[in-house]
Amino acid sequence: MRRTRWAAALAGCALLLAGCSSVPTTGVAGLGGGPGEVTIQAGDDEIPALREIAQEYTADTGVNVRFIEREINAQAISNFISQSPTGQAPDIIVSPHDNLGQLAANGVVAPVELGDRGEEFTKNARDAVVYNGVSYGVPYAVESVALVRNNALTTDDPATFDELRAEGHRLMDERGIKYPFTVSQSPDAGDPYHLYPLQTSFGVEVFQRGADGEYSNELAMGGQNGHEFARYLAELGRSGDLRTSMTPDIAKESFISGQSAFHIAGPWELGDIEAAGMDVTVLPVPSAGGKEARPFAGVQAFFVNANAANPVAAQDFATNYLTRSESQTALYKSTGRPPASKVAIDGMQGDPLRSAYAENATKALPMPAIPAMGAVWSFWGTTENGIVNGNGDPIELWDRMIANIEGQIQ
Amino acid sequence: MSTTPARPVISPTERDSAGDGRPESPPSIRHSHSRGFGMGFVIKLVLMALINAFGLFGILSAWAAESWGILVFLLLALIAADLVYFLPTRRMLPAKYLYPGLIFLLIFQIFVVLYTAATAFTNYGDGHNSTKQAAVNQLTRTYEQRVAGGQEYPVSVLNADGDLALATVQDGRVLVGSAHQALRPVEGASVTNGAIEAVPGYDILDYGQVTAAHEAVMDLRVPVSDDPADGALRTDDGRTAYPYTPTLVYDEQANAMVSDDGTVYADNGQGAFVSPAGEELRPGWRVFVGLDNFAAIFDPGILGGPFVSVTLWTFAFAILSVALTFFLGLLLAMLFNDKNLKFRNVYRAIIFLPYAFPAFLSILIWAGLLNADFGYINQVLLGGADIPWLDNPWLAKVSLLLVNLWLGFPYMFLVTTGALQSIPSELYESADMDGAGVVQKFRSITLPMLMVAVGPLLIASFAMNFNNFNVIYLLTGGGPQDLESTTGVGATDILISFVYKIAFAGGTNDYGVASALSILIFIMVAVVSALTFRRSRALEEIN
Repeated sequence: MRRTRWAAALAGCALLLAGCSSVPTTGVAGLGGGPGEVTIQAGDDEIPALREIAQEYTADTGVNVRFIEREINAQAISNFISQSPTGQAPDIIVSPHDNLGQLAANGVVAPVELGDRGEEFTKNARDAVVYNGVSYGVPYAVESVALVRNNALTTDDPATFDELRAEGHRLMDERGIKYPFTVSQSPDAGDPYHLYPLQTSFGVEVFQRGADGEYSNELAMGGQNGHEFARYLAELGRSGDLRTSMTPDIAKESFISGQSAFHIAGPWELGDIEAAGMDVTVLPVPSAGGKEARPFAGVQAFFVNANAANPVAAQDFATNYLTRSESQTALYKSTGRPPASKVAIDGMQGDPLRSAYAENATKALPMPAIPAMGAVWSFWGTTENGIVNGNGDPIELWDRMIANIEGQIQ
Repeated sequence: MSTTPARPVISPTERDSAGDGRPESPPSIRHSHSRGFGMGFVIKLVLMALINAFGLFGILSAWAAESWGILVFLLLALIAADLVYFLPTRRMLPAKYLYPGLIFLLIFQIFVVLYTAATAFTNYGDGHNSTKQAAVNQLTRTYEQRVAGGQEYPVSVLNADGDLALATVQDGRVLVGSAHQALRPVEGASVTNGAIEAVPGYDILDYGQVTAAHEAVMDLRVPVSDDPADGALRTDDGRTAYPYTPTLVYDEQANAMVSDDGTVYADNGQGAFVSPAGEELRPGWRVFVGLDNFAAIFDPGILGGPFVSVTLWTFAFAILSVALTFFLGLLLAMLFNDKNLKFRNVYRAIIFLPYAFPAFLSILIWAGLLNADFGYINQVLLGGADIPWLDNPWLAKVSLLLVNLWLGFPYMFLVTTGALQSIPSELYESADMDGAGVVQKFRSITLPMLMVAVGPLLIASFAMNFNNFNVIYLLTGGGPQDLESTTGVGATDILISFVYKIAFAGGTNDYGVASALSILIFIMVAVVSALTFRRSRALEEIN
């Protein structure tokens, strides 16, 4: 009897303590004052660098910085959009810039005026965070796909994509490797992102661009060049060089295990490639259609919540602290993503692979952030898959895709 | 019904005296542990004190966050809890057991259904995310344009009698301006190293004060000069200001946004400002749209076509999944029900294995096995065949059903094994005497007797498969996509994965239409369950 009484008393105390400890986190924010805090939602690789920057900021201003670790995917962006109007969303989020159109159309991101500090970023990075003529974010990394070559298999530097395929086939015959090249694809959704450098080498961009570099809603994939690219895709599929069933895992594993000498991949795969101890070189993707092969540039940027709980502090942290070259360098060091800041790029000696990616990114085209792009991805991917798999006449499939997308945008 | 109580009734006075735990009280009368002042009562008091403390904390938080709906709900729930557990009447006894369950039912079921139903009648989704006021504020702010060549002003935020002002240093002179007063030099201000130390007649706000007064700071516009074309200073970070001119203004009288080039964007009544040329300003806001979402689902020009095909496939998928798993499970159960079989339990354990693995894992492994070029099935089992298991619309459907069969039959095996053993063997013996064959026995004895036991489980299984999002999403992602279709729907999409695509995947999120579809799913499952329950009750009467 006595023992149960003690147990009950202990359980009561535990519950009471649990109740007390949850008070500060659930927060009666409106009742308390204090120096306030800024919340930042970022990935696990960005947070170490952000902590350093935040330390300085807190020392200067007394404002505390709290981090929410979360991988940024479509779900995270959807959540941010629906939470922002309720005042529950973080003050600053990290996001790839191609979500900007959706964020801006929902009115959940605030304009961020960088002033002269904008000059410190590469043109691609600056353009990518502009939507409808308004600048919204602080970029920190520019990523684009390039050609990674396994130097143990070949040191050939092909000038065209057909030369690359020829070299790949020679290695298949002589060295017994399995694929002429590897590239991430998806059996159900396709992967136009990884094939974009091939497409642009035929002069086929996804949307028209205005003089200021901003995309319009006018599709630019139609016409003669588009047909030529479609035919080339069909030929890649027919020869078996390109397979839609080659998922990202299979592509990467095949390259790492030496089954392919050339790998079209983004800088995020460098970690695994380096971990495998491979000797590789990063080259631009060679042209297939005669024009320059320009991949998509995906810009990682910080955006400020339009309904931030602490908007002035959030703006201050973003414009005056995140833009510093030390901050940008710290972000490069902690994430390993090719930087957006010119100073950080200059400080990349001793990292030839990532410098090559940063160099490659300057020629890339920013991924369109306009909402119309949402209509493009799925049709584009499934049609490319259809063409590669030989499910019909390539020209017909391509033209039907354009009609479908235009129907969706209007 | 007799009103005479079966057990001895204790009068209120007796009951009170019994509570103090005197040993002489008659032991035959059962007391509630929480009555009187014994151990039970103390525990109850502590628990109720905690519940009240949490409740009050929640009420205060809701008050601070101005969430009046939550506040009212918490208040009522707390009062009800105290009444239920403290009122000294016997009539409250059932409520004591029901109350916690009812609260959870309200929060996690009723509220969710009502909220979904309410959303189904709005245009909530991309571009219609918040209130009209929020949209107007956001539009005004984003359409403010930085004056071309307008310089950067390092500023301090000042306060004079609750009116904010900005101060900046130019050529060694301090300029001060407020919302009503353009920037002009003030005398007697002190500056050290470019930082303003003091301005007569004003307090300089420190950083904490600036961030605390963020609403006023963000609304502050200080004209650079008396010429409006020079713009007005706005500071976002409390340190730097740039001159801006507004290019889009809300005209409350006309209920429209007016652009500086004279274009009038009028409220179109559907939650957006639209120009005469049809250009729509983003963001819009959330409005009630009546039955529009349901109309869109049934309109063949919008979602009607995919909706019909997806609904048919959903029913086919759910019914076939239940039927296949049930009959395979039953067949195996009957085979292994033979008492003469050796190592029966070993076989049963092996059959049960697929159910023991986490379904997520199995589905992802199956997706890999079925990969057309690299999968084990094509490469090894079929010797390099090129069968597009997941890429052909019909084969994908078959693969899906097979994988779901693999995942589901052990469960059916388990429940039918149990049910078979409960069928009295005399029935079979008398059937044998009457000369019934195997098929006859199965149809007339086994199946009806089984149905009584597993009928409700089959209905539950149907409802589960009707909304079996995991297997669709992980195995095929709803694909292969229909190249002809403009909705992004795939051949293996069931209603719930279709809802997911509309609400979260792809470029545009449309929560309104997704909610309307969810309500339709709810109705379909409810109707099917009600009908089949009625049928299974008829079966019960056979028994």
